[in-house]
Amino acid sequence: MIRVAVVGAGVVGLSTALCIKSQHPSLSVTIIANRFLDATTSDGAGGLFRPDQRFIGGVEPSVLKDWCQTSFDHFNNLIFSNIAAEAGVSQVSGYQLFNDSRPDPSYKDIVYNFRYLTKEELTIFPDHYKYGYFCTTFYVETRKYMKYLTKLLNEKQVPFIKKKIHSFEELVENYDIVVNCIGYGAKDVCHDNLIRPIRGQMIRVRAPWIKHFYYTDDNCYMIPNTDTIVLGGTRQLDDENTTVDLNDKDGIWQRCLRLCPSLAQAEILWDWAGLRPNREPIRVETETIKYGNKQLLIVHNYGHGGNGISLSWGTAIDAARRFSSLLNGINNQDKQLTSKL
Amino acid sequence: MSDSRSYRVIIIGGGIIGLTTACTLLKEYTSIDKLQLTIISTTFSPETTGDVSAGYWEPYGVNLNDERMLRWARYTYDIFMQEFFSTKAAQAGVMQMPGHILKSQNDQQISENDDFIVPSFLPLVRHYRVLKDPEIRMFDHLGPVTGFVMSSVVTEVRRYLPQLQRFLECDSRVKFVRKKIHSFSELKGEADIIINCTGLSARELTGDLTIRPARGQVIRIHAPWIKAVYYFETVNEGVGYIVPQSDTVVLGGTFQLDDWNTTPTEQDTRHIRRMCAKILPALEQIQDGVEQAGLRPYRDGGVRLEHERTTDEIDIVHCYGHSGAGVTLSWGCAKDVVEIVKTLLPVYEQHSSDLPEHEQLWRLVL
Repeated sequence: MIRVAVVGAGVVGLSTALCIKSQHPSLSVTIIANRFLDATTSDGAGGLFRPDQRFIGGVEPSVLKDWCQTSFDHFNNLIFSNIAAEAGVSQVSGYQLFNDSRPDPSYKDIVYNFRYLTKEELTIFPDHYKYGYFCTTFYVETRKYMKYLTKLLNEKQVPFIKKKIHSFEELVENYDIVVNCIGYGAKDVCHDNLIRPIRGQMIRVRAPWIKHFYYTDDNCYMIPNTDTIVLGGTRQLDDENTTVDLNDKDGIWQRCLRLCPSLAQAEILWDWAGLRPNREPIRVETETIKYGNKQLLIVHNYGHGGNGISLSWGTAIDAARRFSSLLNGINNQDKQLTSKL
Repeated sequence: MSDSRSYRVIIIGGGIIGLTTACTLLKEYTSIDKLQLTIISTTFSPETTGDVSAGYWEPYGVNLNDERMLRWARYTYDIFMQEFFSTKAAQAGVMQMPGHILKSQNDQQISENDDFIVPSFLPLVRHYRVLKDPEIRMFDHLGPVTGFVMSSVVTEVRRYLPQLQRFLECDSRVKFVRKKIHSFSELKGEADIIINCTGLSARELTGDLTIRPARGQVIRIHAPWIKAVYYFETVNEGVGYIVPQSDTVVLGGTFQLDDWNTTPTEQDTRHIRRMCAKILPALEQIQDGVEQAGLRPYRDGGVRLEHERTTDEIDIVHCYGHSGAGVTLSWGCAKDVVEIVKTLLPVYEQHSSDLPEHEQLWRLVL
């Protein structure tokens, strides 16, 4: 009987576990993580779907497109289902404003309503940006979505174990396949030097009169969630500080206030800082590691940087496909063994 | 140097039409110290017709071929958009948001040039786009539909009017009186001009039988995850719409001409919930809500905006009959009304200002 451990309970871990368990209902799947729900990196995400290839290095365009479209379709179906509110997914439109000319973003044919702003439309913003896009996409409210995924996993009787993993060797005794969704933890656990933290800080506010998202190039964004707005942000490469920095907070606040003066009336709720687990490329692949006379089959799915929510489902489906191949490989080996007897 | 002229103006009606007119008047008559403006109304916010409405800017229920409509709507849209990008937005309840406007398509294929797809107010709005594949697929659950998306503005009247009121109250030239006026002759001698912004009550006051109620029922619910307007028109089952406000969402709608009932009915509630849950199935999970019904001041010939000098020599400027477009046309009509007033009560000193137009009209009183 094959025993599977999914390591990591962020949005990628939960999504991947769900895909695998849905495809193989009788398989034993356990989620092992040190942090859950509000304590995960995913909790800090604004959850806006706009996976821009500018920030996703090293992934083959056709693969990225597949991840993006699969994720989009999955969330889009949720929006118009009767569990949209529970899952925390809803349509939202908004603007990206910038001054340098650049190629069209890779998500432009995936999201809806993508268009460039006219000169006249650009004048409504306080700083006169030279260019801008408008599009209709959606946000995923991470807290709700993670609770929703957790509920589905509970219904499928997937157990959750709280434990910090320092090496996969700890798992070789009790598990045959490890699905590695450990995010930034891969740096130590997998000795992966390609994964680098990009620190992000944000402020959550209540400002319900704001119904659009806004992004500018000046590290400034505003993303509406169900009943809060996420104000951001920072992008500090190789900075491992997960405590809130007051200078960063002030910077974020001033930049957002400039873009949207009515924020002065917003109620500030909480601050957050975390590390985007950035890797070029995002690692979705299999590996076999030998520990003495035992071996562990690994399916990696980590390194999503700032696109964890956006690409969670697409990469989970991809990882589940590779998982199924591994499983077939094991079953075929077993068949060969039994046929030899 | 102030103008020594002394003018007395009465505005009857304290809803969205009356108060936007009051602000516009004060703006144009800044130089007149001895202006006495009295606003007389039986109701003020939150009891006006506008308070029931969702406040979504769209010329709804009016004749779009009327050139005045476009001019009024455009001016109003521009003011609200300026206000949205200002510090007023939060307290005044002004919100920009996208609208998905859909219509059932049956055997009669709606052509791309149809008035529904290309409404005449199109040049006024932003981000207009006809819904095509693959986007239109997301509405497959509604059956074959056609439609478009546009960006518009929602002005939550129950927040907006109190802000206008506070601004007006701070001006020593303004007085508010809660009182019902049965005939204009009651006010003879009390004002140089009477501005009639009485909406549906104009029927009694002026004897104009072309103004009629167009009843609308709504349900206000708590559904903060919704960030856009959705409007769906069917062939036989009426209309459903979902309009977010600051912290509620308004579900509608009905348009029942000559129905004077201001009490919500169960039948309408069921209809509204059913239609809205068709558009966004997640709404099935919401059972709570506050129902209300209001009477849009529908007028056969469209908005009446004109000067009348009555047989007993009272000067009246009428501004009523906005149907479902009171919010949409408010500032635009107010401007035209005050232009007429200026021909009767001249202002010679033109007061110029560097402030944006919306700030000249009114400012937040903190």
